Amino acid sequence: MSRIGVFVCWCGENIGRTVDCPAVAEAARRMPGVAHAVDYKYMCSDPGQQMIIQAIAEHRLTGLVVASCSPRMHEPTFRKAAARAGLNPYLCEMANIREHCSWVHEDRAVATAKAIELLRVMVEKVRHNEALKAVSVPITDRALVIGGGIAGIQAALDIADAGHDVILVERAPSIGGHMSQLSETFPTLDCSQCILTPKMVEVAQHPRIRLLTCAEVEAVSGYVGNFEVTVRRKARYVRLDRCTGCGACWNECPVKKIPSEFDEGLGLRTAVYVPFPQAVPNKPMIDTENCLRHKDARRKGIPVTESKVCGKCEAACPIPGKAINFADADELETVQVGAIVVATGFQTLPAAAIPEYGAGRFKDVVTGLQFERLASASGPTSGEIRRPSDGRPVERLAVIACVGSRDPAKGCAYCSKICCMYIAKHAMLFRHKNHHGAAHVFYMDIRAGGKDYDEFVRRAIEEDGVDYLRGRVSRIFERGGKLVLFGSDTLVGEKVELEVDMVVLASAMVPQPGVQALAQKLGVAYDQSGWLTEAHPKLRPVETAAAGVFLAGTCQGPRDIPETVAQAGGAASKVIGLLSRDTLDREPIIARVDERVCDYCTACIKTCPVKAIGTKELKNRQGVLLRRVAEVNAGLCIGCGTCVAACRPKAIDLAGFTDAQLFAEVRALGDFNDIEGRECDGVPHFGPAGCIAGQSVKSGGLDSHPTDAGMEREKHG
Amino acid sequence: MPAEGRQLEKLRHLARHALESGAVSLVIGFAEGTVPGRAAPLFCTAPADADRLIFDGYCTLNLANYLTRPEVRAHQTVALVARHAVAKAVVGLVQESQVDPTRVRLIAIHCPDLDGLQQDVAWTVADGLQTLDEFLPTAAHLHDQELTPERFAAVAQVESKSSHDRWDHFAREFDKCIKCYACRNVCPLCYCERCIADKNQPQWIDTSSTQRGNFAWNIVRAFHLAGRCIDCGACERACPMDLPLMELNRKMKKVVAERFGYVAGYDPKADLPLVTFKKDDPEEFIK
Amino acid sequence: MADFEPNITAFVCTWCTYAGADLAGTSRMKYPANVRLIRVPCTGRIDALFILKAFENGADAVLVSGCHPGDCHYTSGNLHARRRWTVFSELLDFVGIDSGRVTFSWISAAEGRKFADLITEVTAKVRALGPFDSYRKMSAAAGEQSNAR
Ligand SMILES: Cc1cc2nc3c(=O)[nH]c(=O)nc-3n(C[C@H](O)[C@H](O)[C@H](O)COP(=O)(O)OP(=O)(O)OC[C@H]3O[C@@H](n4cnc5c(N)ncnc54)[C@H](O)[C@@H]3O)c2cc1C
Ligand code: SF4
Ligand code: SF4
Ligand code: SF4
Ligand code: SF4
Repeated sequence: MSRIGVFVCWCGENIGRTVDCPAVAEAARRMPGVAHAVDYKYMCSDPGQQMIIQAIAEHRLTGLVVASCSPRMHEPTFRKAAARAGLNPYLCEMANIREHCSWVHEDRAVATAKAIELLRVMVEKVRHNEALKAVSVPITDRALVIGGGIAGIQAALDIADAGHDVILVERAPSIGGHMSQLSETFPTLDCSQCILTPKMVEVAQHPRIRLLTCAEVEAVSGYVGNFEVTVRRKARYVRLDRCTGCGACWNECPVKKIPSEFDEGLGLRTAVYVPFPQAVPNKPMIDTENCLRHKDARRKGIPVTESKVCGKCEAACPIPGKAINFADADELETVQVGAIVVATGFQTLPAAAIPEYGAGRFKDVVTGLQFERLASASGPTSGEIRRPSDGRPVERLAVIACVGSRDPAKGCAYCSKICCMYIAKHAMLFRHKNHHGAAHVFYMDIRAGGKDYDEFVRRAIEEDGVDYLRGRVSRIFERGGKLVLFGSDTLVGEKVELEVDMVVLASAMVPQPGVQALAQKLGVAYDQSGWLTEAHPKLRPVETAAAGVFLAGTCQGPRDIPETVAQAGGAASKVIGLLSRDTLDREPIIARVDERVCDYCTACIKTCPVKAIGTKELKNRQGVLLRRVAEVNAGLCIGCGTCVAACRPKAIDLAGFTDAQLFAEVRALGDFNDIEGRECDGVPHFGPAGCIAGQSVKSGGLDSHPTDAGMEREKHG
Repeated sequence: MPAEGRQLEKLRHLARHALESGAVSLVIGFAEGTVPGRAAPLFCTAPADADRLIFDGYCTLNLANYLTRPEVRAHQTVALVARHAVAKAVVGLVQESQVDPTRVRLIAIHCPDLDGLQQDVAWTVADGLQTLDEFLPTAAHLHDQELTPERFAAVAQVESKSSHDRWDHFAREFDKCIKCYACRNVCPLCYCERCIADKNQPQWIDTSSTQRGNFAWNIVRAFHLAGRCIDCGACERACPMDLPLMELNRKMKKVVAERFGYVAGYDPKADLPLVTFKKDDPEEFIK
Repeated sequence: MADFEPNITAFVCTWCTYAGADLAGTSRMKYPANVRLIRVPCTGRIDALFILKAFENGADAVLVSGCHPGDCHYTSGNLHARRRWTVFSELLDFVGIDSGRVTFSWISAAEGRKFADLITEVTAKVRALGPFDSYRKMSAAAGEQSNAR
C-alpha cells in the first residue's frame, strides 16, 4: 500500500502568489495513496529538505512528490534528500507547478486547479514507481584507439601520458596517416614530417602504448567500461621482434616497379617494403599481391611455405634465424578495454568519380595528395614540381577548387573545408619553387576561416602573385602535350581558355571506405555521406550515442590538422575522465524484457538507436534451444524507450517510465464527470468536482487497482 | 482430364513426394471442408494424406498462419500449399525472425492476378518444391499490381466522405465488433503469444466489447499491422460481424507506400517501415 | 459553447519540449491553462496507445512534441517516432477524428516562444472544435446501444 508524502513549495512568491499552496496540499491529502501533505515556503532550502527527511521517517513514506519547480532544476536535490532518509531516490518525483503553472498563468483559481491536476498526475505515477538501483559497471583501465593518423596518435599520447594503457590499432603497416604524406602545412608552412615524426616515434616508445599495425577491428561486444574487442592482426611475413629494419631485403627484392601508395602512385616500391623512410614501425612487410613467391604459391595452389620461387629477401636477411617469415598467418586477438576512440580518418574522392577532369586519364592531372608528394622534399621528385607524364618541369600550373565538394550529385553535399587552404598552399609552394612559373586557381568561394588563414590566402594572391579566377572549369583536354582548360571567369563574365602544364584537383574529402561497417560494430551512427555522427553537434562533439565510444579527427567530417588535434585532445580527456574511475554509475532508466511475453519479433532490436538489445536463447535443462527472446544490455541502454513503443505486445518496458506509470498518469487526467455512462472502475478519481466513484477517500490509503489483480491471458493458451 | 484436375494431380504428387523423400515432415494444404464451399486446412504427415488435398477458389485461408504454432514449429521442415498471399506472409514472418526460411518449402500456386483466387480463376502449380528465394522472382511481377487504384476503391470511397461521416461510418462498424478476435486468430502476422488486447497490467484496451473497447481494439489492430499486413484479406473474411477490416488495412498500406515507398511481402531482407527511418522522411504534418 | 474549456493532454520529451515549456515559464510567457504535460524521456517512448487512452479519459485533444530532427538526445528516437506518427495520424484522420484534435510538433529547449504560441493556438482551435463528445459518448459499458452521434 502506498504511503505517499506530498510537499508543496511556495517558492517564496514565485508559486505562492498565483497558486494557493495550502489548498493544493489540502487537495493532496484527499488523493488516494497520500499519507501526508504539507506546504512550505522553500522546499529546496535546508529546513525544507529536513522536513522531507523527517516526514519520511515519521509517516513511513513509501514515495514522495514535491510540487515545486521543474524536475530539470531540482530533481537531483530531492532525490538525494530521499536517499539520505533511506528512501530509494527513484521513489521521488516532482510536479512542476512553477515553470508550467504559476509563471505562465495569472488567474489564481485556474492556476490552483491546474496545480492540483499536475500534482495528481505525479501522485498516480509515484504509486506505480519502484525502487531502482543505479547500474554500477566496473571499468577496465585501458583504451583502444582505432586509426593511427594524427588524430589517433594525439589521442593515444594524451591518454597514455595521463597514466592509462592504450592499444593503438592501425590498418596500414605504419602509423602517420595522411599527415605523413603532406609536404608543408598551412598556414605556417612548416614541414609536416618534421612535426609529425617525433610524435610517431613517441608512440612507438611509450611504455603505456601498445601499437598494433597491419591490424583491424574484427568484432566489438560489451559496453562502456567493459568492451571486448577482437583485433585481426594481418600477416606481415616479417617478424617485428627480430627485424632491425636494415633494408637488406628490400634492396634485394627483384620486384621493383610497384606504384607506391605513399607516393600516391608517383613513386615506386618493392614487394617487401617500408611504406616510407620515417615509417613507425620502421620495418618492412611483404605485399602478397606482388611477391613472386606468394604469386607462385597462389598459381600452384600450394601453401606459400612450400614454394621455392625467389626468396631473395629471406636469403638477404642478415638476422640469425631470419626475420622474414613466410609461415606468418593472420591472428585474432581479443582485448579488453574501457573506452574506444575512433580516429579512422578520411580519403579523397577517387579519380574515377571525376571523369570530366580527366583524372586518371591524363597523367598531368593530379590530385591534391599527389601534388603534396611532388612538393615534398622526400617525395619522388625530391620536391621539384615535375610533370608525371614526361618529368619536365612545370611552368604553368592550374588548381581547381571544389572538385566534388558541395556537389550533391557526387554524393558530397558538404564543403571539404581544407581545400581552400591547401590550394593556396599548393599555388604558393609552386611559386616558391618556380619563380618564373604562373599559378592559376579556379575557385567558387574562398573559405579561409581560421587563425591566420585569410592572411595566408591573401599572401598567396598579393605576395606570391597567384592568379585567382572565380569560376568553374567545364572541361579539360590534351593538346600538343599540354592541358587545355575550358571554363569561365564569372567575375568578368568571360569564357576562359587556358593552356597549362599540370592541373591539381582539390578533390573532396570523403569518409574511409568501409568505416560504416566499423561504425555498426561499435553502435555509432553515421550521416548520409558516411561521416560518423557525434552525440550532439554542439555540446557533445566528441562523444557518440554509444557510451564509451568517442570520435577524433576526420572520421567525423572534414577538418584540418589543428582542429583534428584539438578534437583528439578532447576525446582523450573524455577517455581519461572515464578511465580514472573504478566504477561507473549509470542511470537505472533502462529497458527490460518480459521473457514470457517476448515473441522475438526483433522490432526493438532494430529500432534501438544504440544497438543495446541482443538475443537471448532460452534452453531447457538438457540444453535444447526452446526459443529466443530479446535481451537488453544494461550497460549499453541509454533509456530512450524507443523500443517500448515499437513492441506490439508490450513485452519490453522502460524502468522509471513504465507503461503502468504512464497509464496511471494519463488516467489521472481524466475528468470522469464529463464521461457519461462510465462505470466506476475502482480507481478513485478526482475531477475538479470530486470523485464520482464516491469511494471513501479520507482514509488516504485506497489502493485497489482492479488492474493489479488478475492474470494475463495468452493467445495460444 | 480438365486443366484443373491435372494441376491438382501435380499438387498432390508434389506433396506426396515431398513427404516420401523426407524433404519435409509436414505439408499444410487444404481438404474439403464440412460445409460445402469452405475448405479446411489439412496437415499431411504421411504420404497418403496427400491424396486428400484439394485446391480451389475457396482456399483462401492464409496457411502461413500455422507456421508460428508450436506444433508446426516442432517440425524440422514444413511445406505450404502457397498461393501468393501465403508466400507474402512467409516473407513477413522471415523479416520478423518468426520463421527460418531454410525450414520452409512452398508448393507454389500461381494465378494471373493478385487476388485471383477470390474470383474463380484458373490456377497452376509451379514445378517442384520451392524455397522462398526460388519462389520470390516468380511473383515479383505482381508487385506492380499491389498499388493499382482498383484495390483502393473502398478506401477512396471512405476518404471522399467528410470527417464527420467517416466517424459515423466507423463508429457504426466498430460497434458491431463482438471481440471474438477471429481477425487476429487467422492473421499470419498476429502471432503474438500475448496480444496487447489481452494485457492486463495496465489494460490499454478494454477487454469487453464496449464501444470504447471496440474502437481501441480495431485502431490498434490496424496500427500494429501497418507496413506488415500483406493484404491477404483473411481477417475480413473471418470476421463473423462483417467489419470492413480491409478498409483500414488498405488505408495503412497506402499510407506506407506513399510515405515510405514500401509494400509488404516482397523482400525478406528489407527492414519493416516502422522499425526504420530516413532522415528526410516527410513531416509536413508536424508543426 | 462560449465557456467550453478543453482538456488537452500533451506527451513531451524531457530534453526538448519539456525544457522549452520550462523556458516559456522562466520567461514568464502567458498561455492558456488547458494543457497538461506528461513527460517521457524521448518521443520514441510515446506510444499510440497513450493517445487513445488520453481520449478515453476525456481529453478533447492531444499534443505530441519533442526534439527537432537532428537534435534528439538519443540521436534517432524522434525519427522513429515520426514514422509512427505519420501512420497513426493518418489512421485517426481516416476513422474521422478531426486532425485538429491531434497535434504533432517539434519544439526545442530554446523555443519557449514557440511552445507558448502553440499552446495558445491549439487551445483556440480545440475551443472552436468543441468538446470531443463523439469520443466521450462512446459507451464504456458492455452491451450498451450505440449512441455515437
Ligand atoms: C591534399 C591535402 C593537403 C592537406 N594539407 C593540410 C595542411 O597543409 N594543413 C593542415 O592542417 N591540414 C592539411 N590537410 C588535412 C589533414 O591531412 C587532415 O586534417 C589530417 O590528416 C586528418 O588526420 P586524421 O588522423 O583524422 O586522418 P588520417 O590522416 O586519414 O588518418 C587515419 C588513419 O586511420 C587508419 N585507418 C583507417 N581506417 C582504419 C580501420 N578501420 N582500422 C584501423 N585503422 C584505420 C588509416 O590507415 C590512417 O592511418 C590536407 C589534406 C589533404 C587531402
Ligand atoms: S519488440 Fe517486443 S516482442 Fe519484439 S523482440 Fe522486442 S521485446 Fe520481444
Ligand atoms: S530504451 Fe530501448 S531503444 Fe532505448 S537505448 Fe534502451 S534498449 Fe535501446
Ligand atoms: S491484417 Fe488481415 S489482410 Fe493483413 S495480413 Fe493480417 S489477416 Fe491478412
Ligand atoms: S493485434 Fe498487435 S499485439 Fe495483438 S496479436 Fe496482432 S500484432 Fe500482436
